[in-house]
Amino acid sequence: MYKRLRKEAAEARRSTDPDLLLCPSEDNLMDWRAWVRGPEGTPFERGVFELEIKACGQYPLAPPTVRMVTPIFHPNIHGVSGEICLDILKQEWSPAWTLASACTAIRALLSAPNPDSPLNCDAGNVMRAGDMDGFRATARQCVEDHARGGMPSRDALGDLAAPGKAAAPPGRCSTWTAILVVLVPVLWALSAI
Amino acid sequence: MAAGNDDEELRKAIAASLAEQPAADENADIQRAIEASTTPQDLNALTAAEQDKLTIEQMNAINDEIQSNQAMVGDRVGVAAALAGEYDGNANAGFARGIAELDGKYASLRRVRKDGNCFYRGFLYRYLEHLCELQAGRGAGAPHPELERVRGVVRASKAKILSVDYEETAIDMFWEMLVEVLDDVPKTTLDQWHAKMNEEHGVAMHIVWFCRVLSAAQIKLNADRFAPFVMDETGAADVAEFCRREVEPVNHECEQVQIIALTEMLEIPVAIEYLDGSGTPSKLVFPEGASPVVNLLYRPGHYDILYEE
Repeated sequence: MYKRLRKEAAEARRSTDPDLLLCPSEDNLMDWRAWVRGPEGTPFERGVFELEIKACGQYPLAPPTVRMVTPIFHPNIHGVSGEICLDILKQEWSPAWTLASACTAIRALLSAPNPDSPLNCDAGNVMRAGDMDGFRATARQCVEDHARGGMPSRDALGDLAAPGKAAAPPGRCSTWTAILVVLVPVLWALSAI
Repeated sequence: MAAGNDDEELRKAIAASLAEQPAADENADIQRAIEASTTPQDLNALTAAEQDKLTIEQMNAINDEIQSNQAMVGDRVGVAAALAGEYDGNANAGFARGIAELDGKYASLRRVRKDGNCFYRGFLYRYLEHLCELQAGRGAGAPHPELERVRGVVRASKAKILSVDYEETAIDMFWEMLVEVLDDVPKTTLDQWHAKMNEEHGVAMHIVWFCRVLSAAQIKLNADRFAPFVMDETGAADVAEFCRREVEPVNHECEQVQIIALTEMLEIPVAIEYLDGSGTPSKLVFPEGASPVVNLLYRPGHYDILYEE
């Protein structure tokens, strides 16, 4: 397990991927941090999102636990816990994935929000109601409020990857959501009149 | 094995597999257990995401139970003795007749853990056991030609696997473990091999998973030939998606396509006796006409190892 994680750490150090920054914590190869850039053409494009990654003793036969630290308005990412609903992190995990490719899959999830079986019911409901403009506006606002810290520099990584230096606590996107969820039906009703 | 009649063989084998009656598999067993253990009121009160999570948690619990109750590979026991109890009182007398017939044909059986890896595990166990026997017959002399052959195939497999876009970082460790296990065959006794294949969290799970990569790589290397079958059977968009969803995930059950691909990749034939309620087990050999050392028993959703003597 450590052999594999050491290889992944060496690879992460060599990486020049402009959209993903990944590194283990200085004192524990089981704890990692990652930053992914929001994909262009999505409401997340101006944001950089921090991920907390924990490998278990069975890694890579068992998937890593990945949590989004940066608050985000997305149907498949829990607004408070940061839990991510992605098949390859659960029943479709295979050791053919690495921490880096799993982060890339999470980035792809930002481009493909799926409102069925949502972890963030507010985001799911807005999308299911067909209000894509409302979804995008709320998601963009959440990016402005929480995800504008930019990509950390690779040189400064040693410090940033230390545990306990995570960004702001998650969960604040739900206030916005609550307002929106109330507003959308009201506006809808008004427009009908 | 790259002969022109491959297509025809593959088509026949798949047709035979489709003719098999669809029956309850291990996942269905797990699903039933979940349904039995959760009252409907509970489920209705949960969101879809919570239900998903509950399902995963319960599946993990059931998998843990399977892990603590079933050996990864069991001891050799008589075929009838091993199976009869399971079909006591089964309304379909065909099972009892089938078991009696298999009992006359095969000396014994080893049970394989029902965790979704049974085909790969049974195949690998029996083949390596055979290699250890062959090598023991030669004493401490030169490696047996079959051992030399398969070592060559496995060593060369890494380049093939990397050519179909697997990351070296991801597969290296698994490949090294299988190479090492093969290198160690001359100094491995049957008891040691049995112990190694039963060691939880040891080498066994790693080399068993590597068989999935060997199978997936063969499917990807022969995408034109395999694509029509995997897409028909699973609705996957292409072979890469099929491999990602149906071959690579740990604990995902094995269908006939994966079996054909693995036997081709390693050039190790396998015979499978299919036992259903029809009364007469039917035997399929991959590839057709070969005389395999590895004999497996298939009952809907599960494989065990059969021994002729």
